[in-house]
Amino acid sequence: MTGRHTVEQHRHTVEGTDPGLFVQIHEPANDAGLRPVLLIHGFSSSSKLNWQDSGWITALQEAGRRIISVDLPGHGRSYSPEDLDSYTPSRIRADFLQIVTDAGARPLREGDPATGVDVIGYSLGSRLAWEFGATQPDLVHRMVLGGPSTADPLAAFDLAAAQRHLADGTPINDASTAGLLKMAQLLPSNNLFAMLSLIEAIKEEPFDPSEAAPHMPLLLVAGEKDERAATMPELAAIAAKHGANVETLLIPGRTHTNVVTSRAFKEAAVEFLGV
Amino acid sequence: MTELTFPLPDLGEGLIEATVLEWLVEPGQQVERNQAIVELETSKSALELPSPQAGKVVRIHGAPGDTVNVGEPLIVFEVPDDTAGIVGTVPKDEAPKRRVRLSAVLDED
Repeated sequence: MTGRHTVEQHRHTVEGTDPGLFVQIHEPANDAGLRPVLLIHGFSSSSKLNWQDSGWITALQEAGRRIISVDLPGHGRSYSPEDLDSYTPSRIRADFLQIVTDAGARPLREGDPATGVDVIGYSLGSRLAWEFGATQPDLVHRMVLGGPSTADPLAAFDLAAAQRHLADGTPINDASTAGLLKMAQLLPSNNLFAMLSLIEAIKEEPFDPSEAAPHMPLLLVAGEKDERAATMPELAAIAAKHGANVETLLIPGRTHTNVVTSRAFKEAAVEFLGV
Repeated sequence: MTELTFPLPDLGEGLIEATVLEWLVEPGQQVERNQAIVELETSKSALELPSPQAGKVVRIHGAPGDTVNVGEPLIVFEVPDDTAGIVGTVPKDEAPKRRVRLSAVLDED
């Protein structure tokens, strides 16, 4: 355990405003000398739930990796800004770029394993990673996308029905909308206003995986029983069509919620990024 | 030797139970403190539980798919009598634990 520690990165403005994102750098006890790993959690989760409590931070630290974790706006210990712009995927990607740069990530240089950054995303975090990798080819080395999908359930979310339901209890007809709202309400620590702002902002920039696809090697991972990730093969095909080297892994018996702790998932990710 | 039983701890957020996904240790195995022992799923997320104790696992409660309530036995360890945490021995407990952990690290090197 000696030398393994975690520090909070200090805050500063990006494009004139402080995004207020909670960033932590987790140092390994014995650094393997490889580039840092950026972790991007899913909707209605947090770095703590998605990566810390599930054992990912420990697994990556034991592999000698330096980790950058960030809570999405309105999630975990990040601020819940009032303005919608803070929640747009493009703004969040700009914040990621600033965060990894602040953490010391430098553009990839052939033959130098300490340059660039590896990315692990889960669910919404995989969508954001997909776009981040597509737009930052000189920085992103490899990516592991968990519970990924070609679809965008947040863009398809029925905001009007959710607001009616919150106002007077009118039942929500769309099962996906009802499920996502229930997820957002499960954690008392979630700011519901911020969750709905994020959804509204995502509706402005819905996921289109063919529009910009990452070219670096990808590992796509999902639970065998993960209905949200049923389109993973299509996503793999899109990346392959754009020239990416894609591997996929299905974890037997696991769902969208419980694949996160899977040893097989972590071991595959550590191995895939360990080059 | 003494057997020391640990119940499923309070997981916060008002959770009262968890489902066992997969055990990462088995009876007879020697585990370190903070080593991940079990994967659990709650109504909100999936998590790994770190071992509260160094020692030999005697019994585990709950097969994959089983529900365990907060406060119910989850895992039983066999530990030396003087580290069993009997009231009044708590201050003594701290120092040996640190020595054990230090020597464990030296052994690995």
